[in-house]
Amino acid sequence: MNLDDQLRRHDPARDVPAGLGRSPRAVATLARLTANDPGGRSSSAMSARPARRRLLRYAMAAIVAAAGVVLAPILGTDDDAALATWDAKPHPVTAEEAERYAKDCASWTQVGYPPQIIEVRGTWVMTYLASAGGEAQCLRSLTRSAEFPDGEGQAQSSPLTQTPAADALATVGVMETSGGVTNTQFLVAGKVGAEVTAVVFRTQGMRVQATVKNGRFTAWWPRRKPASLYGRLMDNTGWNGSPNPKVTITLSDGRTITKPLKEYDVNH
Amino acid sequence: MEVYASTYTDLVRFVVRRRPATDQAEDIVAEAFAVAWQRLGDLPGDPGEARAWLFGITRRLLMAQHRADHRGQALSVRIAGQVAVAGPTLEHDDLVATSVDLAKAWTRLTAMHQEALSLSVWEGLTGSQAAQVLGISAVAYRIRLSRARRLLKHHLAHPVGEPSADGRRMPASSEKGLA
Repeated sequence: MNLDDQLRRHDPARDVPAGLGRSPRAVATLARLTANDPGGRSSSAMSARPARRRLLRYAMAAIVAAAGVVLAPILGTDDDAALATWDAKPHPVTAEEAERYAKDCASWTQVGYPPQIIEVRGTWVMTYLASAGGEAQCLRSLTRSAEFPDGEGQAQSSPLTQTPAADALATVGVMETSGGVTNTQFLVAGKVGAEVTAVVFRTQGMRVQATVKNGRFTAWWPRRKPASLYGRLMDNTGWNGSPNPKVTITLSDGRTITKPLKEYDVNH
Repeated sequence: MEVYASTYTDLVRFVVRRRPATDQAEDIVAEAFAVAWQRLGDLPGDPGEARAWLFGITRRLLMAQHRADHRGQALSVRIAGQVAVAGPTLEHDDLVATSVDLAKAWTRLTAMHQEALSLSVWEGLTGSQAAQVLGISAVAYRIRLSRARRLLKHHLAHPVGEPSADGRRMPASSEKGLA
């Protein structure tokens, strides 16, 4: 008998009967859940324990979507209402807000990079820091709670991308955040070529306008369930499981170029 | 229904291994399923991956209920006491230990290493699935699991108070930071 065999005999759950999932209680739980549409908010199971559910939603884990990139969660809140405010078109922040967001992001990512872009989409703020040493992104919700006063957020830092050609982009790809219990978001950032004046992503039926400033770009969007399996496959076409949206760049002479984003991935 | 029923039992067992109050396990599982239902769009298509995804939800729920910061934290996992087997029951790599020895050695592991072993031995997950539950890379999980096995064997070979092979005593807390 080896170690694993012996451990199995010490399973503290060995007395849980195999047929428990067919017990009246288990069946009632299933019936209660499926009485509502998936993703609906009127479930009795939901309303029975609102406080507990909100707390759970804060438990966000991160998934590293590209080698060499560190993606780490920041404490905070999450709610669908906040994500519902997401805007495909970014908005700027005031100088005072920019200073505060940049300071927080530098603290979370433990880098001293200066801010390059700070943009707002609904109640969420994206802060993009970069210097000769590297770059970092922080995505934070402005929705706060007593338990988590900083708001929900994700932060990632990575090596600096190379400078692209004048009519191209350079990025390390799309970062996917997901804890399985909170909303998944996709973050992307990088450098733009000297002639690039605008960057637009098309993904999941959305047209996401990136912020382009200081020779860099950044954008983010919430994941939406594709209408079909085909839609999901088209969004994840063999790029390390990360979304591969089409991106259209506009050049200073008015020309536009549309390609899959992975063609601008410096690691691809 | 078949998938739900088997997964329901697996999740109850998952909770029972981590929480002494076993009578509340089904409450927690019901809540985990409620979360999963809300996030149905994220449900992996592969049954094994889906099971791991549900374990991940349940684990985070347990940690949130205990107000733990999930970053870098782990849930301690219980072990059943002496099993009804007489005499030495473990003979492996020149190691002979009794059921009591194993239970004592288990309690000297950190929660992090207990979790790593539990996900493999009791939850029966693959390395990548266990890594998904813990929110770490598959490589990091393999390292953690390997260290957990080594530490458990070390504790079996060197009960509390007995010097280790190099003459030093190894307190339980010395494992922290190994994985």
